[in-house]
Amino acid sequence: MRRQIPLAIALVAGLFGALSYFIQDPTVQDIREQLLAWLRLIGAFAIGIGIVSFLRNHGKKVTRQVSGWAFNAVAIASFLAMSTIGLFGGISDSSLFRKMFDFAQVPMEATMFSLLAFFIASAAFRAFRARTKEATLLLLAAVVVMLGRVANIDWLSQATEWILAVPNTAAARGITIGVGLGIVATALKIVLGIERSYLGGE
Amino acid sequence: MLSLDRRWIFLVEVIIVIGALVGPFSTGIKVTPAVSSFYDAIERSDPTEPILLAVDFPPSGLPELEPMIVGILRHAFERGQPVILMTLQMEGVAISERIVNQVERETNAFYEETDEARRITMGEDWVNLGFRAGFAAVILGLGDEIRNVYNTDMYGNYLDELPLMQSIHNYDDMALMIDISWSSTPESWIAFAGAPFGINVLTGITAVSAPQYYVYLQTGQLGGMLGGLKGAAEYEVLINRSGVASKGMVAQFGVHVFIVILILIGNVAFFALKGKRREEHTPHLPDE
Repeated sequence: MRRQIPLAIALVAGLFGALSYFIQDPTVQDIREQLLAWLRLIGAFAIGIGIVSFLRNHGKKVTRQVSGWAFNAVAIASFLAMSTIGLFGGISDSSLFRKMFDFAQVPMEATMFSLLAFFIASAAFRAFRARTKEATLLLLAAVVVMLGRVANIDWLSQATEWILAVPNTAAARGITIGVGLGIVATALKIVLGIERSYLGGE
Repeated sequence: MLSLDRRWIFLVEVIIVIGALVGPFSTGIKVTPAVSSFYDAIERSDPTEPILLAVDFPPSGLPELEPMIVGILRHAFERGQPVILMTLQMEGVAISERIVNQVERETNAFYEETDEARRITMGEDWVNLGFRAGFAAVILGLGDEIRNVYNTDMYGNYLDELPLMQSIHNYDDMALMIDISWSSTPESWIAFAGAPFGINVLTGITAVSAPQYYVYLQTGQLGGMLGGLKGAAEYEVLINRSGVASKGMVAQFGVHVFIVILILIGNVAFFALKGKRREEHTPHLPDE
């Protein structure tokens, strides 16, 4: 019974979610809207679960004083500081929260992302080798796209567009269709009760 | 050569980037079809209907994506087209508010300088709805009735009190939607807004994610795309407002050329070393 009820809910909600897309009856649409509101509520609760999980994971490392625990303590302190400042001081454009966001979080995140450019340059020099036919093709495509995106040379720009629009799209389309079919198959398995791992234990 | 200390590479790169940004350099920018479609979609849209602009990225995407939002807001305000901002990512609230305030101030200062009576105001020319959790449920909900998802804007004003929002209920009342993103959110907008409700979806995306969206451009599910800083720079060319993206392209040009040179040097050194090793291991037969 503990398993049958969730499976029945999944079956009804899954079938209703799929069919309500095609049935324009006002009652069906009202129920669909209600379900969407519940889905948004679940999304909001997920944030709460995320916060609890964040505090538990970092808190454990701090209390056990595992290697690098000071960084975990900084993460918890930063979370508490930003939450308190935001909750009590507001998040308007002139608030302290916004200043902390604009002058601490933004530069820190931008720095992390910017470092990639340096590591890419170093990696290009050390690891990007034409060892095999496939690697040579990849290397040539990369060189053409990198130059074609910045240089104002007609044939190079056209070659770049061709690489992006033809071989790149062909591969991406294959992946997209594969992912799409996978999503449909998994959804059907859940709705029909074949896939039950979300219930836990199996 | 192959054992070159990577700090030298970092140093040269720093010099290139700073030199490009500070120096009096510029680079020619060729407009690609994806960006041209993006611009045309906005130009063709009805300026009395608002653009829905989703700012779905964290601060790490700012260098590439901020110039896009600035460009879109400038373009829309210049056409007199209102913009509804929103986000599916929490950090997007602060990012969108700062940028829209900055463009509003800059546009109003320009109107003041040129003695134009018009002013950009919150509630009439733009509205910021802020963040809602729920992702696909939010996108689907906006297709039925915005008020079911957002009953107020991010400042707590009821939507019916805002002149811009009084006649706006769902995607049917909007000209198009633009998702500025660094991840897979444009796919969700295509699947849950474009496909079921028929709104024209455009995207501005980081360069690293752009290749996966050519699929949707070709099928027409995406009406246009700004890919990375290059896309933003092309858009600046089209709206005739040179900005940080155009300047940033000089740095990108320098760094890309530098990386290609590094790849070439690395490969030449690799094959030279390989040839040398092969020579050393080849047994030398005694002369007859």
